[in-house]
Amino acid sequence: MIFQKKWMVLLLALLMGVVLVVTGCADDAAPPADPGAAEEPEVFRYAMSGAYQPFSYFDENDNLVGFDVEIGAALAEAMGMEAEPVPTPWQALPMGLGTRYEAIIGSMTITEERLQKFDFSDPYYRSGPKVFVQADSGITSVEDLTADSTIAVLMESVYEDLAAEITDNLKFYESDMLALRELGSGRADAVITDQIVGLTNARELDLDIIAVGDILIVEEIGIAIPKGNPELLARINRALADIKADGTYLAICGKYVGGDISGD
Amino acid sequence: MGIVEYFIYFYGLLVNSGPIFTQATILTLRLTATALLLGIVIGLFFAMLKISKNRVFNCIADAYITIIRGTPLIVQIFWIYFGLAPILDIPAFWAASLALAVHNGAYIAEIFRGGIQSINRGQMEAALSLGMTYLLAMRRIILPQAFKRCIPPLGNQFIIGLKDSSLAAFVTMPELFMIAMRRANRWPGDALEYYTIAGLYYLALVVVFTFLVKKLESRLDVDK
Amino acid sequence: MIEVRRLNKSFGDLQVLKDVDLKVEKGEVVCLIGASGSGKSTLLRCINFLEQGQSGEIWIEGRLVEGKKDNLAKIRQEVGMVFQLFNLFPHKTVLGNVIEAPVMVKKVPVKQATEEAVTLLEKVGLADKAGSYPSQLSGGQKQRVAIARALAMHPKVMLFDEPTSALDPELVGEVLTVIKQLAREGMTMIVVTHEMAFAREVAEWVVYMDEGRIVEISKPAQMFDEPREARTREFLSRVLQKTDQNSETRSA
Repeated sequence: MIFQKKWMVLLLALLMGVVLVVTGCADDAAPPADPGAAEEPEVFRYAMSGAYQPFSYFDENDNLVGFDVEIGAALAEAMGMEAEPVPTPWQALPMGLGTRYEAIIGSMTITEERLQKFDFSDPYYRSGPKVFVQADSGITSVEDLTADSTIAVLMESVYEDLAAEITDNLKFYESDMLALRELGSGRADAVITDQIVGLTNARELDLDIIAVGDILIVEEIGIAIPKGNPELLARINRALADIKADGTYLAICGKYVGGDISGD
Repeated sequence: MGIVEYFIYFYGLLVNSGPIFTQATILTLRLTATALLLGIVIGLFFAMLKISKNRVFNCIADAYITIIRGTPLIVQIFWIYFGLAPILDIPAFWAASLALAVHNGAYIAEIFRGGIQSINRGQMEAALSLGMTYLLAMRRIILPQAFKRCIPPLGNQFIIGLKDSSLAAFVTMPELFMIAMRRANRWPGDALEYYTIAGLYYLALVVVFTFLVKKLESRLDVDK
Repeated sequence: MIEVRRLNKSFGDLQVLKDVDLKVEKGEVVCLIGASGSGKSTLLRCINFLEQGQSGEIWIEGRLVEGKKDNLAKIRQEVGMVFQLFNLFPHKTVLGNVIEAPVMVKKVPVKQATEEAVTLLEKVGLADKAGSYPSQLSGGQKQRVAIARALAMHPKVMLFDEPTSALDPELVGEVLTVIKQLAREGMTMIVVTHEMAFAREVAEWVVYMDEGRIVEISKPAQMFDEPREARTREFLSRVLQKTDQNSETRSA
């Protein structure tokens, strides 16, 4: 039938048109790196959630700032690369690793489970979860919490398992800040979260909450990179040692947390 | 806080966040416009495959429409942003636009198909009997009439597309919804206020757009 | 000029044309008559390949046309067609309808096409409607525009598919007048019609079809006064009686 050959031509023309539009515009937006003429520094792309004060968040002018963001920038500089932070939702972070960014500097705790999927650098800070409760709740230690207590935690976090050991009444939130607000307004009995995060937010949000007891477990927070790239791993570890040695690391700690959190 | 104080407080947030939300609005509009223009091309293409008499073309169009309409937009955005885009080295903006375009394209294809099939068969026969080729008849006779009938449903789809562009926030686009999320994270006490502000921006865009579509509709009607 | 040989056409299980043979010489006017569903419109549509038969041959100007291989658009340029429901392009003006095909298909310059179109519109008595849209015209005017539109391609033959069936009775005359004028000018035409008086006046040959077969081909005088076939006679007595009744009610 006469129509069909014409259809094929139309099909091809349209496909080519779409490909041209997409690739043409892609070229405009990001000129492809030409390795031969590469005088420009390599780009170090690293991801974090952007919703985790004081490690990564957006300030009044919508600039991405925070401890993780500046550590990444400092590491990039030490490696002679150009820093490009890529804010990505927490749940989606692992999906883009190795394709959209080379590393996750997103306050990710090193766990056995995660070590199956990524490689981790040396810890770039150490912290640990504490139990936060309302100041006037009468709860003074972890032992005061019972199976009836409601505990709010960040979803998909290591705190979930800690909380599950105490109670089945878990409430999950997109961010620690939301969980802490729930605690502040009395909709949860306790929050288990990183003590740095908890204290910073309590001050920031003017919440009447306190930390009780000791750090539950010492967490080592590392930089995640795709498996099987020892060169990059070594480079990052060397850069980390460098910024600790030259005082950059301490300066960043001072700016965002108010004390050395390297745990060295 | 009384209602008046609250209103003043809210107004303060609205004004202070104005410049950042304005920037975000521009990105939202760029995303939406790119996605819908591309979506029209994709939609027209698959509408043609769908009405073609070739079984293989029909199947391709059916598969595309079924898959896109049957899966959530956020999944499609992840497919393209995390799956396809890194392979083809497509930047984030184009990955998000492409995902939105592919998504809207399926709905636009159905709108075009309906529009084309609503045109009386006699129009195509008359055009063919004058010695026009199928494609020429499509372009000169069928599509101009079909397109006019497609304007109301297309306008509707554009409004849906505008609001759906908020999902680009999940692939790092600092558009309206993303800015609201960031502000809500930074100041959780004002979270609801910031989401409401983003909502107001979308509402304003939709109202303006609806007005423009109405105007276009009535103008085309007068012509005919 | 046009020859149909052993044409068969089915829609699914329904066979609408059965071994149809028809020959039309240059300058002849042939009228197809018969009851609804007798296959006369389908035969017309097969001649310009809007439908394709399952078997049989269509010869145009001594050449066999093969629907699967030939450039049908090219062939259709030589075969004008006028439809029962006009099928004017509603988004174009009267002038736009007439010049569309010459300009887009034959690449005639717009100026020249417009001049020719105006001449054609004068011929069908609608020069003053050039700027109107089809929705502003009466049925009779629409059909006259449709005729002008077909003529603009300078076809060698014109096919009319019940050109007056959709018209109010008082508008039939103006369209038939135009067709009669074409006949006088020597245009080759095949006309499917229910207007027996018209067929009698202009046709060289009248073809009676029933249930997908050609039952009788005769000169008009014989067909209407002393048809050879019983079935023809029966059909004609039925329709002529009805026509008489109609004209009686009209004159009353």
